Amino acid sequence: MPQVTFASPNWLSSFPHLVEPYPDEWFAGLLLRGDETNHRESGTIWRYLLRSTTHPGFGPGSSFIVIPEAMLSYLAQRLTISRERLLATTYAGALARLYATESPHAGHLLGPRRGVTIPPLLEKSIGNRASATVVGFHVCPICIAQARLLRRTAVLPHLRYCPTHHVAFQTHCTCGSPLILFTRRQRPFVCFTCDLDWAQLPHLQPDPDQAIRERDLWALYEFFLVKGTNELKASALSLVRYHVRTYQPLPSKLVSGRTLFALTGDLDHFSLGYVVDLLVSFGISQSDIVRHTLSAEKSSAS
Amino acid sequence: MTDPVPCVPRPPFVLHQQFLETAFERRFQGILRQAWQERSWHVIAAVPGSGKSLGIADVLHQSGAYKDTTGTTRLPILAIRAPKNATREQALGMALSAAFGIIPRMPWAQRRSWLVQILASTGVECIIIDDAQDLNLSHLALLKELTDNLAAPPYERQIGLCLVAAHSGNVMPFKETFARPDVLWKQFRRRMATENPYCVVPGHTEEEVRHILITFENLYQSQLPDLQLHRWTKTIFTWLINPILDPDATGRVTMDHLSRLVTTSLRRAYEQGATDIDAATLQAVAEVMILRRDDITHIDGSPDVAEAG
Repeated sequence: MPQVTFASPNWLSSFPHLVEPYPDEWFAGLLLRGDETNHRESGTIWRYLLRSTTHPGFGPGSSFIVIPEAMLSYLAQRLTISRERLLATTYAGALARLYATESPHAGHLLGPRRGVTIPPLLEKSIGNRASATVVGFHVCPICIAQARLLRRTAVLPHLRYCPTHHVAFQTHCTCGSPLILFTRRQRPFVCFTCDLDWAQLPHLQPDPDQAIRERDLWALYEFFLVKGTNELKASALSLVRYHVRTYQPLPSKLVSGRTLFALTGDLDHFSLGYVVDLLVSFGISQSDIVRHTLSAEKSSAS
Repeated sequence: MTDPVPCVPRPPFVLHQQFLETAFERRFQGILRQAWQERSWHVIAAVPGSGKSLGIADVLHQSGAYKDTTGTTRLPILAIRAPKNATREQALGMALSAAFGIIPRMPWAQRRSWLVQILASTGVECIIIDDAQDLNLSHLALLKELTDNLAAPPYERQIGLCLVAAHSGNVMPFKETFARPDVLWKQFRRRMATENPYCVVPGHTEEEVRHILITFENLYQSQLPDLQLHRWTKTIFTWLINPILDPDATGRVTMDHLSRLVTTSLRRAYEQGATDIDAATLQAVAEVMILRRDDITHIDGSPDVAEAG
């Protein structure tokens, strides 16, 4: 177990209590655990990072999917861990592989931003307290109860159930208030209105159809995030294009609830969330994509 | 006929800076360790230059403090230096907080309760405050508040406290203050250790000086192979208890004076190409320390400056 001893120069340049990322932990969750371990209010380390680096900050709606280099390096020093371990709490690496021609950004996963989830009334009354919220922010109560863990998977679009515990992600407290990631003058991992610990939120199971859809979504996300490349994504989209031309002459409803009228725009810039949405909606699996990619490679070779 | 031996210039004199566990340090650290083990409260005084701060640093390094990346931090001894020219309790609170590492800012009211939490969660068992003569009423009141809160539920942790002060003459720091009739001072006095609440740790006797000189011999023998410092023990001891260096007439020698005399003399001897120290060199340095201590040196003319190529 790595230790910082009193004689080390890192003693005074690190937080009183150190935290290291769990496997698959999300950057924002690590910050919240750091706050809790150091007996600080929710969002303390995040605000400290914003003040201590030259980054202007993300403002409301921050996704914490890709974190600026300056912040990663600064936090790595304060936690005495490597920058690479912190990078693994984001999807920057996976998105860089999937969108090789551009530097990774949250839009690559989520698509164009459409505002925040704080209702206008709430925003007016406590807007100043909500220093960072996340589009569709939700938690798995069992992950929180077991390890105060917010997984990276919680930021993947369209997933509504925890892939590990198969219970519904909760977006609101039982009191009706939305869950807000960082709230001033409040402990981490609790509802900012009624103080209920997120670990005590209900555990709702999916019905069989939902379970199948969630399994398919998760399988495709895992496929792209672990092994995905720009070429695989392009191959998947060519399958989608073929499917739309052949089988979907009329507008069709996607898993996300959006309606697809036609496949337009630059396919290279489709977000991963949208790509997965299309693939699951048309019943295209990862094995279909692999097969299609292999046959395309064979035909180009011959 | 033999060729003349080429004159090879000696490398620069190397000063050894390591901590020496002298008799003073054993006495001083003994009290600190007693306070740590028994969670008792003491005022510990010694004359300036005795080696109090070095002794505290050494105890701290041996206390087993660590931070691991799973969130566990242990800081059994929390040692700070009393804030200077800062009369408000916040200054002491900031100094205590800073010993834990980087602390994102927070309001003072929040920091007060946070301090209790962090003292408990890092397992602090003893607080040592160096230069405690600079503490004032509000600082002492804060110390009492913090330790009282730790002693109460849910923490129920007793904390040792050492107020380490420099003193001169026969005045024992804090003794008169704690003897005052105010409630705060009564409460403070009640918390002091039953045995040895006020301790004065004296400097070195002649015999102890001899042991230190033998240690210096071992340290510097690689640079001065024939070094036999201990034969000058009586002379050195007599010089260093001169009323100019020992104004309180303690008849004891401080480590600061002893190491200054020895290292300056050794450096001079080394630079003269000697392999041992002689009486003249020692005496010259002693005269500088005793008789010409307050001499004013005029730095005139232009210093030799090597031309940059």
